[in-house]
Amino acid sequence: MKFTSRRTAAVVGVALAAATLTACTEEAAGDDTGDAGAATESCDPSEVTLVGQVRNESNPYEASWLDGGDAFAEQVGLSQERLTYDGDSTRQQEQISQLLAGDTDCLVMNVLPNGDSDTPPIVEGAEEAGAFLVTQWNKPADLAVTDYDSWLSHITYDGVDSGKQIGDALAEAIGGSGGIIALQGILDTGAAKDRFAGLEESLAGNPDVELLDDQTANFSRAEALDVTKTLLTKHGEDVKGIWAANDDMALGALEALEQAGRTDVAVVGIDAVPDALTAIEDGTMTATVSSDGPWQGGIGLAIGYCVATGELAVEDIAAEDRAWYAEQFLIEQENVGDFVAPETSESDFACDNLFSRSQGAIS
Amino acid sequence: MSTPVVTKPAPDAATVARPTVGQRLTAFMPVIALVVLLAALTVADPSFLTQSSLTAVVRTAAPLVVLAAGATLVVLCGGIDLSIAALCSLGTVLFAMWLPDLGGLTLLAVVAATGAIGALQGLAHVFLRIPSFIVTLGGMSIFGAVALVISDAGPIRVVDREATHWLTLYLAGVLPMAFVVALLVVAVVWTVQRFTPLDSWIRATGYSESAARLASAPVDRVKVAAFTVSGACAGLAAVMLVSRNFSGSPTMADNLLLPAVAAIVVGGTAITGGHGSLWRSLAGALVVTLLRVGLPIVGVPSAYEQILYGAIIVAAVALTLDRSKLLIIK
Repeated sequence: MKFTSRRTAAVVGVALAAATLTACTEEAAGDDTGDAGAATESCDPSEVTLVGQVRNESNPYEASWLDGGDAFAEQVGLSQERLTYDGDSTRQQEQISQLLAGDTDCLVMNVLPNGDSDTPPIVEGAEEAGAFLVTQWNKPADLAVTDYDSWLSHITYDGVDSGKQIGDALAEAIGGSGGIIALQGILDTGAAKDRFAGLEESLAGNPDVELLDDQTANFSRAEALDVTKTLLTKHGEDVKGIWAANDDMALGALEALEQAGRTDVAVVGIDAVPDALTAIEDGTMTATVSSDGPWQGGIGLAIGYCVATGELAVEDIAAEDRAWYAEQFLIEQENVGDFVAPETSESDFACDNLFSRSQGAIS
Repeated sequence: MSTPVVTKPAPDAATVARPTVGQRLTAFMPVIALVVLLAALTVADPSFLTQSSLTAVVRTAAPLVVLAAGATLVVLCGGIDLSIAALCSLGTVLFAMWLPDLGGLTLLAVVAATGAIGALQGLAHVFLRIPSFIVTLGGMSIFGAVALVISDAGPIRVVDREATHWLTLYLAGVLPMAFVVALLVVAVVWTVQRFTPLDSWIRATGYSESAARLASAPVDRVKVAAFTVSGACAGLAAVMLVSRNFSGSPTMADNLLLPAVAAIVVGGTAITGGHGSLWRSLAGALVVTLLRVGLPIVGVPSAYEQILYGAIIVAAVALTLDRSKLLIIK
């Protein structure tokens, strides 16, 4: 041990001595610290690297996102690098910083940031390295995409709209009048707040529908089961419908209804997870909303690819297309067949058709 | 090994035994494991072995090195500190909350606070005679909950980046400052340990606590000191995380606990105490970081990534463990 320690001590000593003689720099030196605004020189299509990063492949929605990315990559004769970080913010940052240390001149990244606060370091890393970045879902409201050259676009979905859509579908399913209960998501997230605001809008338009109770089940299936059991006991036959802020909670509510032997209650959710689609097919669930995961996986790469190959210039992307709400789809029994095995279509990813699903800029 | 406590009786205390080739090789095993892993990653993806890529690896490794270095002291004493990751998360929250008021002093304040919390755990361990595993398990859940409560269960963004800017610089354009700080921490703690009786006391405590007490080594004080350093290191690692994420969050470092323990063990430090060193944990932390970031980047599918990670960790420990220093495997 003495042997190792002396050697290492000597090495560190020399390193420290050398360090004091040299100055500090802002950026790591290297042959490929690409310059910001690399868009000036376009890449050969075959040289583009496509990377898709989501939390988890075990989540069917996120797995379908990566599959969509693969479909786009195949369409342009490339392959997509699939990265997952297990919902761990630190791990996501580590992967991104390692990725950006490689060759970044023609790097295109379609990233799902773990949370709002994880977006700024990703954006700044990409900007510094000159890699093309598209983010989805999470972004701090005060971070403007137009302040950056490499951050091409941010896509998200209008939660108020989806909350209202399923609220209206629920009102229709119970015949326009009766009592409903609402299962809220994690109260501290924008998604939960927006979706519930959407329900309130829907209630305003359907005055005969009465909100008997609203409680949080934290987006969790197990919690929704317990909360629904309690609320069913409390309100009994008055409950005609259940509004859930996501499908997992809707599925939990369905379980509670089954245990209580109730078949007369309509249930709606959001996300279009496979189990929910099956339930809609069977007729046990009324409606859900899909953001179209495969399209999300493809579109981010498509935007980056079009800019990297010079078919689209960053300056030419309208300000309202830099941060926008994408279209989402209400799924009911009559159209559920189209969504059970979602597929991407090539025309969605054509460079002149990238922003066709925009529902307007994020206000 | 000049410690008076050895597991095999020395044939003649007066002559210093020269290490055999095998022993020398074992001492270098963590470094060998590191080189082999790097070579394997390079074979999988030749573009991985570039200077900028290695720079990114050591930059990523910095907080893990500091966390593992601190906890190594506790492990050397024969204990375990499970609270480091939660304490580090709490540190990121404290840093983000205190920065607007304290400015440049926040770093010292956070390190002092986490050091004090570490000392408190050490005192609870020593005076209440609770196993370190339990004390720090309790600490882990307490610190996690405190961090959640004071941060309102969400991340706190750090707008003023002046205080942590120096940590994001690069020395000579190559060495990330955070990694230099991590090296300094390892070097300073090691030097203090090496040139004072502390080294003997720590090892004696780790190998056989009762024997150390009989030999009138200040076992209790040594243990409290080890927990204090471990806590302070968690605070420093927290500042490093904040400097690179621009925010503090109550769960930011939670997933670094197992990598830190893995770093210690892969380095060849015996989890049962006594045998090992901080340098070994440095090499171990680099191995673990290479696995964490290297496997996905060279294109290993995520399903196989966890399998490979587990298999390589076990293989690395099998390589680096000095079996001559271990009499009992728990």
